[in-house]
Amino acid sequence: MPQARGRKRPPPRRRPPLRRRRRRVNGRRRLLALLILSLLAFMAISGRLVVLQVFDAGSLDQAAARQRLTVIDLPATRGRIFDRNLGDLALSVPARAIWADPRLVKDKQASAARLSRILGIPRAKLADRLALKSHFVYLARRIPKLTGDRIQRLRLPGVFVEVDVARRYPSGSVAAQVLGFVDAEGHGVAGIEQQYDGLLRGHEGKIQLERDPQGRAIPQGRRSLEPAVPGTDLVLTIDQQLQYVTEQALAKAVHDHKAKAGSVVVMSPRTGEILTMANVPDFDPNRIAGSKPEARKNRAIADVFEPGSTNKTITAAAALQHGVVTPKTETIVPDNLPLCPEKTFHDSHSHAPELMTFADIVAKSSNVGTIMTARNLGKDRLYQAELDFGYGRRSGVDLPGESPGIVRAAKDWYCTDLGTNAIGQGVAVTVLQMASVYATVANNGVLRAPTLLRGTVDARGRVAKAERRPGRRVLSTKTARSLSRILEGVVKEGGTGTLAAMEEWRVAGKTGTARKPDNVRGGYRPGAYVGSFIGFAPAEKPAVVVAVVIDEPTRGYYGGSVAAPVFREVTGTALRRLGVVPTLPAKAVR
Amino acid sequence: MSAASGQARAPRQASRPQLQLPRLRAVAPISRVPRLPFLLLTIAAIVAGVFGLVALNVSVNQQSFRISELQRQNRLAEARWTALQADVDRLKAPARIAKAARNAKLAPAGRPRVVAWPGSRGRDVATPGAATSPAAPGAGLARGDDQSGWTAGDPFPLKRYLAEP
Repeated sequence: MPQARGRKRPPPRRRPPLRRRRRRVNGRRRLLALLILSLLAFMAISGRLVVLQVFDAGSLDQAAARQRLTVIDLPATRGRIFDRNLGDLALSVPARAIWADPRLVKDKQASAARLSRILGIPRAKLADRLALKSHFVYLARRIPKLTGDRIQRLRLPGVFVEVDVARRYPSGSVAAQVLGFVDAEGHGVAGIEQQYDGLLRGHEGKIQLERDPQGRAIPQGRRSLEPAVPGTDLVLTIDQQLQYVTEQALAKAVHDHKAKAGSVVVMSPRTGEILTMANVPDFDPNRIAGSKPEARKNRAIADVFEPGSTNKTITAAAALQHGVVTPKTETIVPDNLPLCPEKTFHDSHSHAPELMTFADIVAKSSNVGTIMTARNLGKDRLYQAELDFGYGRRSGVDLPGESPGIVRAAKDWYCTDLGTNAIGQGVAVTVLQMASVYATVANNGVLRAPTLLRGTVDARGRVAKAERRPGRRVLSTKTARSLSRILEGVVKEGGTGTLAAMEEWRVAGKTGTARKPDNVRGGYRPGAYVGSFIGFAPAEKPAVVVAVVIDEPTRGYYGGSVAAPVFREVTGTALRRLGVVPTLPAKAVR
Repeated sequence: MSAASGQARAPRQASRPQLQLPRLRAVAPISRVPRLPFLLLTIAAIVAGVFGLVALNVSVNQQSFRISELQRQNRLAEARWTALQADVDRLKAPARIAKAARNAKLAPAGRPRVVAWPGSRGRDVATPGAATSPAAPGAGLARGDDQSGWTAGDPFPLKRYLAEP
């Protein structure tokens, strides 16, 4: 045994634990580094989470929602337009629009041929559209829903069908200029459609819903509905049946007398409600593309004309109101009157100086007699009367594009202007303004603003009566009644408007035959006249005022011959339709 | 050593006073609650809950689909009603009726005559004003001739308003 030998083995040399220490130190450092790294990583992740969850949460949430959420616009149904008896004048119906992405259409000729058969559009026209280098081209708009469904069943590549709305006017051209029409986007651009576009349009709604990647709605996903509010329905004062009869009578007169155009306005004098407003030529608002701008114009409010002898009513009213004359005032009336050095006024036919009452002067429509009365009245009072009756300013009827007319201030009048104004030349008015003048006389001297709106019905069915502006007194009741009796003489034997007389009711009115100004050369155009008759019935208590104006008739031109028959037909129909019992004794039935 | 200790302990035991030890008595063994019913009940409750939840979910989804379908049908019906209304209006248009009447060889009736019975407020005795006030739409027409479509029982409120004097 080595121990026994006494040799003591030196103890194993213990190495100093430097390495272990170093390892231990290194291990600690590593742990520390790992900890720090972990902490840093944790902090980075936490920081990122804070950024994502706190700072960017809103925008990210919105971005996610945008991916899932789909918004579908719900178009508001445009309000309907009714006549006074609730007959539909305009309504919106569901339709379809066909559009194409020409770059996706494979066989353009074959597609055009198949579409042409269904749409009724020439194949070449469709082929031209499909040949366009565009991503979007309309092939047809506002076509019936069934036609759209047929095209959808064809499954033509690159051809798409979308929902559209078509505005329909079931009565076609009846009251077309009053109703107006809408543009391709469904906004009113003329007539009542434009005037009340804000009411008719309503408010669009929308559906917001979550969809899966296949585009299907997720049943329990987020869904919100903001329903569309349909437009307000309008009830007009127009009587559709009477409007049709009026338009037919006017069209016949314009045709028979080979006239350029014509207008008729029928009003209720007590309320100012317009029962009909007819113009010829007319158009079909269902086919705007094929109509002429002249036909689309509402002449009754947009065009002005020199009223001629129908304006003598204003001269007579002012003279009676100011006590210058009475109906029985007698005057010796020659057939000409030199008012100014350079101008002599004449009656329509030559006659020897004759003794006439003022009522006769009006009934026979004597220019000279009227100007003599106007001279006694004075230009300031005549001018003021014209203003009082509404000349030179818009009547305020609820239609766009109304003309105020043209009337020159009395201080600017030339020597001849007293004479021309007295007999309705040198002053320009609209047919509606003239109808308002006679409505004022018929309404015992109170002028009611003309209106086309009777009431509205909102989306909930609530009915609101249209507000009426208060009337304005222009003449005393006595003057108005006196003038009414004078105007009755116009349609009696010896008057100029006998063709306007009716068997059942007494009629009061005035004929007018005015020359048309030459806008190019100045002065008046030879052979160009405006024939008119404006009056009311029954004369004792008027129910309707009717103004008929025929523009440039060439086969006869006197208002008493071209316009008075239209007045009689329209007035008779209106009174019967309103249920007005005849007030004249019936002739014996044989 | 143990014997010694036993000997030493004996006198000590004799001198120790008698202690009152609690009486021991036999008790029934602790009965274990059977786990199986509890387990079955829990599973049944969970299954029923899940099944109920799924059923509820299915029902809600079914209703959702049903509502969508009904809304679609409603929209279709509305569209159809509007299209039919437009057709009716087109057929009622005065121009179309006039044309149809011409084709049927019908002629306008002409002016009506008003008969005043003895003692009635006829035109010879009545004040013109009383006779000429504008009537409600359709007034003066026989019931069958009413072209405005007005009927007394019509629920549309505007018609009542229009019928007001």
